Amino acid sequence: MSQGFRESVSERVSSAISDHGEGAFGRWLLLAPALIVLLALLYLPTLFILRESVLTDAGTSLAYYGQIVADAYYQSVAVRTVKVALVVTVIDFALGFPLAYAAVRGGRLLGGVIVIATLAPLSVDLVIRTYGWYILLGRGGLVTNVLVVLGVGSQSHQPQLLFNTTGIIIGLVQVLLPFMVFPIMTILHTIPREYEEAARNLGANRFGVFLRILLPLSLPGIAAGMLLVFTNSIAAYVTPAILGGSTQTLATKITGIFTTSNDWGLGSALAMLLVVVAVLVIVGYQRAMENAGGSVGGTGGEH
Amino acid sequence: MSTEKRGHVEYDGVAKHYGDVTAVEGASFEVESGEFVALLGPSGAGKTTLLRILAGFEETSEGSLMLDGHDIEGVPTHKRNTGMVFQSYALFPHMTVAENIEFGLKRNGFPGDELEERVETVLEMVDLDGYADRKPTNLSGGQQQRVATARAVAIEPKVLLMDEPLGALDKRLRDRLQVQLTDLQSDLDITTIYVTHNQTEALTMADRIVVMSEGNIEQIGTPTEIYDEPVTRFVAEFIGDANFFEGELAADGGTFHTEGGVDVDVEYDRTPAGRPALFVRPERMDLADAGAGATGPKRNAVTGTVSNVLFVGSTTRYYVDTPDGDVMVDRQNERATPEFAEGDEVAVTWSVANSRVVTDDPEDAP
Amino acid sequence: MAADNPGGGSSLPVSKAFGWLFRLLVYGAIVFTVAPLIAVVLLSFRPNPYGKAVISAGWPSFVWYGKLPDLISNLGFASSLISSLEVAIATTVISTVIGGLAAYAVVQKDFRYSSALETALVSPLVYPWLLMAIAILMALNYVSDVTGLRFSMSIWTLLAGHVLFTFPYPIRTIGAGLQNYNEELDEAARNLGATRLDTVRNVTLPLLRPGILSGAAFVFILSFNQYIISLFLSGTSIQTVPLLMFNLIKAQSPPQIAVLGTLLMAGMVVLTVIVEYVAGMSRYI
Repeated sequence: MSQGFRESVSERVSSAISDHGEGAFGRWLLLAPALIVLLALLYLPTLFILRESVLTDAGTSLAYYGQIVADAYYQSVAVRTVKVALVVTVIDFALGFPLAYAAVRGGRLLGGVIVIATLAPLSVDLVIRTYGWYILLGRGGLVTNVLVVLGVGSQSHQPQLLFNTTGIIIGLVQVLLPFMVFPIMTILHTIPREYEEAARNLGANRFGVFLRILLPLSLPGIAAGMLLVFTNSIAAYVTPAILGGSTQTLATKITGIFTTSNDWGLGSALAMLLVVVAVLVIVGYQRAMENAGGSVGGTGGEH
Repeated sequence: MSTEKRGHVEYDGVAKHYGDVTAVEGASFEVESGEFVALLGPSGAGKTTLLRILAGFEETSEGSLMLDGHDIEGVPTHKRNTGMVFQSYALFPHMTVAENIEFGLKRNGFPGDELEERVETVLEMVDLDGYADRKPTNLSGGQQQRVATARAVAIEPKVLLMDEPLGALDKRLRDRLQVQLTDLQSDLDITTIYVTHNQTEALTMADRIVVMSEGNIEQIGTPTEIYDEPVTRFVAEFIGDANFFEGELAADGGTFHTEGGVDVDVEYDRTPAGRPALFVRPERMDLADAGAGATGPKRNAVTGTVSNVLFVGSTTRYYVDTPDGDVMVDRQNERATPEFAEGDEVAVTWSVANSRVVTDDPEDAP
Repeated sequence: MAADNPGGGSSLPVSKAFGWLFRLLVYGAIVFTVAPLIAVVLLSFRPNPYGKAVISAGWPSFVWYGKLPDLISNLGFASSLISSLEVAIATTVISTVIGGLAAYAVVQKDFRYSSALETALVSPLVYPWLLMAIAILMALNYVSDVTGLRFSMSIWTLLAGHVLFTFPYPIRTIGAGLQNYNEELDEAARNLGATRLDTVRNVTLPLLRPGILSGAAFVFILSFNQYIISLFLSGTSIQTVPLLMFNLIKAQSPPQIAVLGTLLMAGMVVLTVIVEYVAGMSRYI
């Protein structure tokens, strides 16, 4: 009896799908949950941040924004955040491109090692990863000691690597490196080794090959990597919170405001700042990609 | 299994449109029970579309399709019992050969205890006994093809549909499988509709051929009819090799005046609507010394110079430069050296019966 | 000397240095990426509870591992582990289903809005988590302003936030699988007598398994490790593992933290290795 019942249900569903499923209605039905989530939890709520940021006790105004602009403290925090993000992005590119190149051209063993070394940390809690740096960068920490041995600073005057911008940068560079490595790896896979060999054959040195062949052709991947690293740096919380001590970034300041005070209007205004920067970067990236012909973040897939 | 006439297919005015694009226009033909019919034509001809409509993967825009006397339109795909062999074989990679075959058996009313036996029987039919537990990825192209056929045949379909099944295989394998497939088909007496762009396959395997081009049916006939009596230029050109003489038909229908200025005898008793051309197959032509002239009653002759001689193994192909352009003549090699050489002045001859007047319009067929 | 380098002879010293520097850079970078993790693991074996040195006298010692049961009960680790697992599993199921359905709808070629939708659907990937958290907070605020209902954070708000930032991942992995999928397999199944449901169950889903599993694994890992969204949306009743760990950092001695950290790390690495072996996850990055 249950077999027959299951079969008839199966028939019913199948004919329903045949009648409606192929067309637009079926498509939208499948998309509905995802779109609802997107609209109801992301796009719409972002507007509410905007709303909160202009809602003061005295009615709608830009008072909070005025507060931010006037106060040099907020300006310094914002500038620091952007500076950190830029530095992290540049360093991650300098480290990430060679890593990606070595992974793609360096043979299976090296490639595998690099993929694992970059992939594995992603599965570990950010808090734990950052804690590792907390240990390494503090007074008496391994890195500090090594630097002292190398002649940077001295035993009594150890280099300050923690609770300041330097610590934040070091932490973020490591944490966000995978976001630069993988997009570049993806695009490098599409550049045949023969291009480089041809260039060498025609007289270019290694640097020339990099500058004239690899760089232009891997631009979409590089841009994607930079986009991901930059937007993540700007809004990063955990790493700056643990490694920065009292040094504030926009993210830590905003979180502080929301968790310890009722000044949500101010917090929202600061958050809008982040939104604007993020949107500008994304739009800029889209424009650049349109000219080159690509898409946001790529679509994964097998290579 | 019933013994009544099974697998009788009737296309009646079937057309398929995709927006502005017409894939098939007004297709009407019947396939008898047990017949092997080939749908032949270049890509884009609409032959695969007709197949897929019968299988249920597409709906007709116009016209009706009957299977064993019933309109098939309302029947859902999985109930049609039209076994299909896909161009990509579409073997389920996550199942073994046996499981692939059992997939269809389970859903077509074969009881559980008969499955294993049926799988073995069917694999034997395609010479793959013992391969039941292999995975498709461990099979060669030819083996995959045979499993795909076995899978389709196992469910005892009313009609067997094959979509360019031998396309991905090399020539030797193709030749072998062609024979195997025709044997299988006649042993099982299953109606088969076979889509291909390979005219040799169609000529070798089919009982009848439906020649298609750009969504239209050009001609339906037996291989001999298609080959010897093409009704349009397209069919004449598509099958085998052809020589065409452009020109005009005289009013009495007995003479064809070629563009090169030669008058030849023809047999044509109407006024063509399309532009006429005279068509003769290379192997129906013969060569003689230029001075010989027409070598008999009801024979035509055109003079020219041999421009190229190609040795093709059992035959030799001569290209003769005539006032009507290059004419190809195939002659059997009865001796080691060709009789004519480049530069020879020759007369190309053929009998009137071996020539036909064809136009672009099928209605003009004599 | 010119024979060594048939290309740019004059830049030979630079080339050579470049190659040597390059190798140093790569190996250095590899060490750099795993340094903090190794530090934590090494630290967990350090008997001395004070100081920042990774290794000190008496290393290695299992003393803190021995104290694990106390650690777990005293610090509330067990209940936070359970909370994290509950949320992660629920998020995995919901996000994978939502993402899978959306991927199926979008990958079909003959769909007019495909590329616009694709961009929209993966937009959470470039949207900062902090902003997501605040946005949802503000939305709840608005609703309570307007309706007068008091909203408190609960597992539902947490779940909402987690689903939001994870669902694009299954879309990417399942979408990739679908793009490489041979539709004729589904047609063959229907041709052989399978209904649509039957086909999905017995042909489509099994073949999409790698993409589904990889997507699910991504979601699970991301959700389990999530900090900032959980901070905003979990309220006082729920504490997930990352939240707990964060709070412990300033409070507890390093080796104790390191022990918990090492165990979590081990768990995650095992999970990653299993999924990689079963579904080849690394193809989808």
